[in-house]
Amino acid sequence: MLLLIDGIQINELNSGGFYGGAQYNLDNVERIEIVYGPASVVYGTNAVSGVVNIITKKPVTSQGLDVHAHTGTFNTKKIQTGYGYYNAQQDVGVRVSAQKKYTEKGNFGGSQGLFNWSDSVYNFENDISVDAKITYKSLTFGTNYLQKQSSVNLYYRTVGTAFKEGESLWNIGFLNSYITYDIKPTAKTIFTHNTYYRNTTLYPNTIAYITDTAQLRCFRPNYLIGTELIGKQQITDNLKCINGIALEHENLAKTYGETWSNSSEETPPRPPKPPLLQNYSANAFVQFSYTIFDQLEFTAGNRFDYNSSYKFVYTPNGSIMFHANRYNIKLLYMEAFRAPKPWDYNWGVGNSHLQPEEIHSLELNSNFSITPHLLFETSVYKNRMYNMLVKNKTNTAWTNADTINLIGIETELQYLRKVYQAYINYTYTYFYDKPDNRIEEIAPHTCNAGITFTPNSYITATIRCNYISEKLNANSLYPIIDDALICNTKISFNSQQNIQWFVDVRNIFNTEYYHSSNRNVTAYRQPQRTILLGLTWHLE
Amino acid sequence: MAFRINMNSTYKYILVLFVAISLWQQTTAQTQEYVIKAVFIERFARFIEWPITSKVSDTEKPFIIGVVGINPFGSELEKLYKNQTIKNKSVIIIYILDYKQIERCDMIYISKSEQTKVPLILEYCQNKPIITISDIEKSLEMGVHIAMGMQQNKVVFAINDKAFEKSQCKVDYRLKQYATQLQ
Repeated sequence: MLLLIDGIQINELNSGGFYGGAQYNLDNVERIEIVYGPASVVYGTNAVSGVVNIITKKPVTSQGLDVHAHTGTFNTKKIQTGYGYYNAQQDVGVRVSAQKKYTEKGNFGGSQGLFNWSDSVYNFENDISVDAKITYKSLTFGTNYLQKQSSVNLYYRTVGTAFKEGESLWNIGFLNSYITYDIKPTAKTIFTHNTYYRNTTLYPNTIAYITDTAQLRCFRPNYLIGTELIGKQQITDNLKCINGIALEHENLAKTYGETWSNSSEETPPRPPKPPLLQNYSANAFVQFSYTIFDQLEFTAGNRFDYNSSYKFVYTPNGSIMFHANRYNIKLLYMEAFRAPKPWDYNWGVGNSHLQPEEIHSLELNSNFSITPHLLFETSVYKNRMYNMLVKNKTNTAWTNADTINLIGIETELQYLRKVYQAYINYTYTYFYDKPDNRIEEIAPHTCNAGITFTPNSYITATIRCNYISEKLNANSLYPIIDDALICNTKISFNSQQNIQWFVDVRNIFNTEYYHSSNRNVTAYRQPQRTILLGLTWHLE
Repeated sequence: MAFRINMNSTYKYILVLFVAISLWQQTTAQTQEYVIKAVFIERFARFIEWPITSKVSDTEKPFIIGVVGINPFGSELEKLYKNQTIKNKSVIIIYILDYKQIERCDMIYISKSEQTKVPLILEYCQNKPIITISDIEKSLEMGVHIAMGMQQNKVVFAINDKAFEKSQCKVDYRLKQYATQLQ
């Protein structure tokens, strides 16, 4: 999954994988754009299963002061505040927003956590998020910073192992800064130039784990600088084009800088800075869209990537879309890739022959307005994933695995009225590597349903439910993860135009449910019932 | 008189609207679509009369224009209304993500990002004197008051008389003269 904030990747630099742990400042979001499925032609590496682009609030559209706060069970506390100012005369604006959140998430001790940890095990997450944006005409300077501090006590099973619970700390920061501006040489052409700096650093006070005899302290700095030029042209009434070129230079830690202490109680000295591996990349893409009869649209694109580690990657895509009054049908062929990082090439004994992971996807999607208020969407797809990275049999290096296949069906029904808004969706997935060998570590059935009730302009009540079917777990001590139904509800009350109070109850039936684990933990218990009380306030 | 019109200023605005359309015809290549659409929205308000019982008649309250969905205007609306008034009232632009905010507005623009939500948005305006404007394809058939579109590189607009009747707002016949049939 590729995660962007204001169009700049915030994926963890060492792995390129989506880092979902850091709590983003969601109260400063204007909208979230989602691209379903592989999308590397426009977005490049990591856009394998989809793209999530978080667009933060702009000074012009979010003026004034806003405050969001909540408190609740498991010592959960959150405070966010933001301020936006815009001067129309000068066309200049500024918006800043900051959030701090602390939670202990749940009770994972003893039987509550499948006896992975002692009764007294504790866990915390302390997140800080800061966004700032200055705009002057089409010029925007933006910076987004996320910091996550959490205990590492739940990363490793401590009961019956050498790992100990204690004052462990995972302390990682993500900094994105960018300058972007538009050039409009003609009314039908726009170029956007973007220069960005990304930094993902595991700070040197990180205590990665504690054993009976030692503590391990880590440091892992990484940064990247890049520049890109994206063009959009309306060539004729029917033909439009999007294209771009980009250059990037990254410095990635070859390994962790590490120091050890001589006892479980003693903090190790500050780790040394690890050697940094330099990596260069360049890419170019072009995608054309051609419309016939206002109803039929063809899209075709190509992308070329060169990287000093994995050399050349070529990625094509194509689609046919038919739009009618009440229904749309799309047939899409999409490819995407996730590039191995120097980190992957060098892990363990190293493997210099690693190839990028690739996904090729064919999808048929349709959506239909049954009535103006009732929408039905369905999607059928087949994906083939090549060169997936797995550890070799001796667990000493990464290697490319065989092909994995996925057949998926998704359907969704939405009913949208002012008083009631409801949805239900169902997804079926069938993973296999060979025709007779199903891979059951991904739940084959998931279903989500929700309803929002707004009887008047003061009250809004929402209930959402999520069902996940049984799946296999990598850990043989707990080989099957049972199916689970999790329901959340939120009731909000507008006491005045700009003040909203709410009660948020998550996992209302206190369902015991687990995520699979690839560590020595049996399985990860997910949070129990959590009750939050909060308010939002906006002063225009 | 609920619908009394100041003829002098009305003719002035018709002239300005006409000049704007003419200028647009001549300078299409240099001008952006949404700059012109922002000007059109401002002009529409001049030719619409809200019922006397509506909050538009309350001179103490500002005139509120809402942009529903992704804002395609950039800062054009803000610049336009920095020193402009509508019905002698200051103008506030609000950018709506929560549809409940629609009820605060006197006029809304429904962005193309809300294509599948138009019937729902119109429900929030039902039986209220809120003028709805959109450039979503077929939005006039869906029930908005004024639909904008592009024909031969020009911004054109069409008026939905039935929608005006339902909302108890009245549109000046001179604005209708410049309206067209969207293809």
